[in-house]
Amino acid sequence: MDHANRIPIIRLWDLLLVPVQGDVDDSQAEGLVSDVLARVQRDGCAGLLIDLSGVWTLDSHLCSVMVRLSRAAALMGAQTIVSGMRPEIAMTIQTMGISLGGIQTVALLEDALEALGVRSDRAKGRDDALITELILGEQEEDEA
Amino acid sequence: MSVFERFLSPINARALARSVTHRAGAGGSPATLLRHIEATSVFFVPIDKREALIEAARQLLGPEIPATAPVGGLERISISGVAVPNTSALSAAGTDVLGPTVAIRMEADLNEARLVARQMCQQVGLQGFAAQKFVTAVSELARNVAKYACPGRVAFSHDAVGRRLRVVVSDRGTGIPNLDAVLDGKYRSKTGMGLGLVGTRKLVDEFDAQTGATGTTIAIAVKY
Repeated sequence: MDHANRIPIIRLWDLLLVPVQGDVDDSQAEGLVSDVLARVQRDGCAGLLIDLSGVWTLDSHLCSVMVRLSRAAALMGAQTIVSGMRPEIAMTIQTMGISLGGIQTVALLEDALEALGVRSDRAKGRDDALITELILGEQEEDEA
Repeated sequence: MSVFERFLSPINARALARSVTHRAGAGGSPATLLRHIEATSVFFVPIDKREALIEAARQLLGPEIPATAPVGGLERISISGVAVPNTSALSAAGTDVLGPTVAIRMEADLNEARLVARQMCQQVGLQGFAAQKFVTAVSELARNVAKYACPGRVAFSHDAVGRRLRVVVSDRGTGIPNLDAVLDGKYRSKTGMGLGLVGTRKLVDEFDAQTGATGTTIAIAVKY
């Protein structure tokens, strides 16, 4: 498989982000499994984020590839989380009765990151400001 | 292959370029590639741009290819209001318009089957969940052929009167053992074929499967 057809695998701290996009053919899917597992081993990753927001079609084969990948990654100590599944794709695989074999799925990539312990300082800062305001709001107003 | 972008939306251009690249990678000759472009463009390139696209592709692939190359490797039928032959119980009474036929010889051909399925959806305005179900069903059936009964074909047609898209997937393999049990969900092969077939039946509005020692024909239809 040439380089242009490979699905990118992006390292984020001790995680691997795999944005799957467009029409995924079988050789790409197979290449993905071996590439990701090699990277999990090489980089000692703790988590694998598969983002499906750009995928056109998810059929039973691609689902089984993801299940296989997540089970193998789990054996190597990396947890898999799938994010960004579009509603029509979710409804299609649900209609077909396909199971994702216990892979954790979340709506957004942010949720996936959070589930693996990564949180934006900016979001945290906003939450802290909100808590401060809730607790100390009146006091701050008094001071003003 | 950025030549396609002059005539197609970026997504369609990319999809067509990929399907052409696949065929080239599988050893397709320039003439075969051009015929593939001609066959595919019939369904999603406006008629006023089609000739220009094919001409541009010919310039790219080799101007010496004859304009009316005989259809050899790729099975293709033009969209001209011909009635579908009665290949299955699902064929309508002469109101179908033949769409493209995609030959399935290897797994890379699934991309083309999905591409054509997507184009058929666009053509009739099928979107979202309905389009997703159709494309997924085509992908599942074509995969069964690629995996177990190569070569085969995926024939698309369009019933404008009954407002249905139809697909007939056929092969000359050795048939599906225990088809009834598979469709009842009582049997699943170790390789997971049962799941694909049962799942496909749930995705479509009409489903008909005939199988025997000389091959299998599965016809599906979705309403729009």
